Amino acid sequence: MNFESIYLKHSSLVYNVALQYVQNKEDAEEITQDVFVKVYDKHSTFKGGSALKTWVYRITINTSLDFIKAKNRKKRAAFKNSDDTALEYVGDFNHPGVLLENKENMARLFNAINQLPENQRTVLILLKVDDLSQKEVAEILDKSLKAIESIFQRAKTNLKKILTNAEGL
Amino acid sequence: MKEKTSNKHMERPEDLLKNIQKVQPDPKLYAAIKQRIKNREVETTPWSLLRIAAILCGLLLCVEAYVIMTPTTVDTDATIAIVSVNSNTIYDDN
Repeated sequence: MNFESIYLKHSSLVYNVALQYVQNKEDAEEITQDVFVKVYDKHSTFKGGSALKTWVYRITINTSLDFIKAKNRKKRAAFKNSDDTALEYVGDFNHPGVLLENKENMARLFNAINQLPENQRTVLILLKVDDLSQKEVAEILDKSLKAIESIFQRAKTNLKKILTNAEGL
Repeated sequence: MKEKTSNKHMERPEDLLKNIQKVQPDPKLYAAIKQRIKNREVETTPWSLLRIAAILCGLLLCVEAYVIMTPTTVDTDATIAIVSVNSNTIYDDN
């Protein structure tokens, strides 16, 4: 499969997954570019050990998480703040897939999701936004079904905790 | 009714995520990616030349260091004379 076909088939997937991580169009576009530059570099060496879609998902997740880390590092350096509690991604909430009437609730929800550990955030996004099965998520993250179920349960518990704490403030 | 929905979302907040709609990326994005790949390929040429030059310099330094550090196997009179002179020794000519 040539590069253009890979792009046509997977660009929407990459862009939408990136959007769930950064919740704004500009950053999601930058991540999409980064992902496809990596795909371009590596697609000739892709041996098909896993499905192409799984491979693209993995690159997208890693690139999104790296992007967030880099952005947080820059922000920390700018504010000279070494406090680890400020690690969560705080971007502008401008998610184009969210309806205006849900915007406030979604902004609050994503603010909580951004505070979850990386693996919990990823499992939540893949299961609940991308509507993948636990089996598909297990394959993408190279984990067992049991592990995915356990991460998902922890994500739900933590999410509820963060939201309750935020409401109590 | 609205309160009921809100309570339901507090119980299972993750269910709200199902309301997110899929968005198509900007059609110009592909052109931007191709341009980035092209720019990078142009940029990489001088870097690869520099890398080769750096490797050659490193190799030359290694060879030079090897030549200097390796002890001479044949001790001629001249080399013995050079080696045995201790600059800290004060010689009394008398």
